Amino acid sequence: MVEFHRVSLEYPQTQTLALEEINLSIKKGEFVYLTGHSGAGKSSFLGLIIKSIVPSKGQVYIGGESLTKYKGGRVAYHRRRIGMVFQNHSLLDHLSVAANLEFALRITEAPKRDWNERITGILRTVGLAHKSKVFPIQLSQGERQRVAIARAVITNPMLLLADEPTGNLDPDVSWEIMELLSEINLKGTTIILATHSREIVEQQRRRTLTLRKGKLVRDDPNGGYAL
Amino acid sequence: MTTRTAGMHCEDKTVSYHLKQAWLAFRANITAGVATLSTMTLTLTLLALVALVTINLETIVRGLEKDVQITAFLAPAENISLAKAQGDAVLTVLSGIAGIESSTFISRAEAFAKLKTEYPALEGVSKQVDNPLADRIVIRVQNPRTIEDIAIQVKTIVGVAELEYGADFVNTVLATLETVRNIGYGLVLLLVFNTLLNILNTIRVAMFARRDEIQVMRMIGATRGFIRAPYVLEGLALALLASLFTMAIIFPAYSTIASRVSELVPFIPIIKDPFLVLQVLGAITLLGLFLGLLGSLWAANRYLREAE
Repeated sequence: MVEFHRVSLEYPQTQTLALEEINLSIKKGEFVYLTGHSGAGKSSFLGLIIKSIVPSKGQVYIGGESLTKYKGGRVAYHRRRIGMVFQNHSLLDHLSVAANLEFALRITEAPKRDWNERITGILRTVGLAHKSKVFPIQLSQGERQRVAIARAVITNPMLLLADEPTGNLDPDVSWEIMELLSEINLKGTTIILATHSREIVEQQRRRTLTLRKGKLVRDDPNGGYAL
Repeated sequence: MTTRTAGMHCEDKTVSYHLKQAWLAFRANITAGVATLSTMTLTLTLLALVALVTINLETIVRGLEKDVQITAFLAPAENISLAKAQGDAVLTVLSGIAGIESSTFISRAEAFAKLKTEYPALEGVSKQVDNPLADRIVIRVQNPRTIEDIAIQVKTIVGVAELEYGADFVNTVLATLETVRNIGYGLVLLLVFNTLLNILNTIRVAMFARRDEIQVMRMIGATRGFIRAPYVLEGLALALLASLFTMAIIFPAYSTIASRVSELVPFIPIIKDPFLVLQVLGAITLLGLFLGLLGSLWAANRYLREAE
C-alpha cells in the first residue's frame, strides 16, 4: 500500500535534512503508529504520502505506483484516495456539520444521489447523527475531531492519515477517537497515525515506526513506546 | 431515522455552486471588488471613447482623401485642337503610371465656365478680361498616400507645366490622427494593465480570505479547476458588470454628442449609426471579458502555485 524506497527530504531554505534514507513498506489494512519527538519528521513523512512535498531523493509508492510521475490534476485525484485528519480538525466553521461532509463529497465528485445516505451513515458511525445541522463552533473538541474523521472517511479512502488527531483532547475523548479509528481500520482502511502520545501507543499495541532526527530508528511490529 | 442535513439545501448543480461561491467571495471582499469594477468601467469607457473618436476621424480623413487630386496644368497651346492633342499625349503617358484611378482632361474654357458657375460674380469680369486659366488634367489616385510619388512622375511628362496637389494637408491630417490615436491607445494600454493588476489583487485578496477553505479543498483532492472556478467567475462577473456600465454610459452619451455635433457642424460626417456604435461596444465587452478571464486565471494560478 505505502512504500518508501531510500527516501530523503531536505528543506533547501534551511538546509535541514527532515528525513534520511527511509525504507519501509506498509501493507493494505495495517494500522501503524508513527512516533517521534516534535520535529522528528512525522509531518514530513505524511506530507510525502499526500504529495504536498516531494522527496529530495528516493521514491514513494502508493498502491504500487510511484508518486514522482503524478503532476497537476493527478495529484488531486491521488489525494482523493487518502483521508486526512489533523490535530486542529480543519473544519470549515461557516458550514454545518453535514455541509462540511457534503463539501468533501462535492470535491471528490461522489454521485449526488448517494450524498444523503452517506452523510447520514457516517454521522451515525461517529455518533453525531443528531448534530448534522450544528456548526463546528457549537461542538466540543472531541465532537469536532469526530466530524473531521467523518469527513476524511466519507469518500471511502483506501488510506487514512491522522496527524496527532488526539493532540488537543483529554484522555477519555482521545480514547473514543482511537476506538473510532480502530473501527474504521476494521472495515479495511489502512491507517497511519502520527502521535507522540505514550498512552495511545502503549494501550493499543500495533506496529510502530519511530523517527528520530529524520531517521527511521525503529520499526517494531509488536509496538510499544520507545523514542 | 431520516436526517435532513443543512448542507442539502445547497444548489444541486456544480455551476450554481460555483456561482454561489463567487458571490460569497465578492461579498466578503466588497471594497476590492468595487475598486476593480470602477477602474475597469473607466478603462472600458475610455477605450470605447478612443475607438469611437478614431473611427470618426478615419471617416473624416477618408472623406478628405476622396477629394485629394493632382491638377496638372498644361503648357499654353496655340489653339484648341493643339491643346486637345497635347492633353491626349499626356493622358496616354498617365495611363502607364501605376496607382492612378482616373485622369480627365479639362480645357481652359471648361475650367473657366465651371469657375463662373461656382462664382457667379466673375460673370461680369469675364467679359472684360481674357480667360486666365490653363488647360489641365485632373488626376485622382488610388491611394492618397502615394500622391507625392505620382506627382513626381507626372511633373516629368512633356507638356505638363505645373502641378497642384494637397499632399501637405493630407499628411498633416493623417499625422494628427495617428498621434491622437497613439496617445489614446497608450492611455488605454496603461489602464488595461492597471485593470489587470486590480483584478489580480481582488482575486488574491478573495482567495486569501478563504485560504483555510482552499487548503482543505487541496487536501481533500479538489482539482485546480474546481478551486479557481468561483474566482474566475468573479473576475468574469466584474468584467461583465463593467461592460454593462460602459454601455450605459457611452451609448446615450455618444448619441447625444453625435447629434449635437451634426447640428453645429453639419459638414463633418459624424457616425450616427447605432448599430456601428453597438458593434464597438460589443467588441469592448469582449475585451473586458477577456481581461476578467485573464486577470482572474493569472491570480488564481499564482495563488495556488504559491500555496503548493
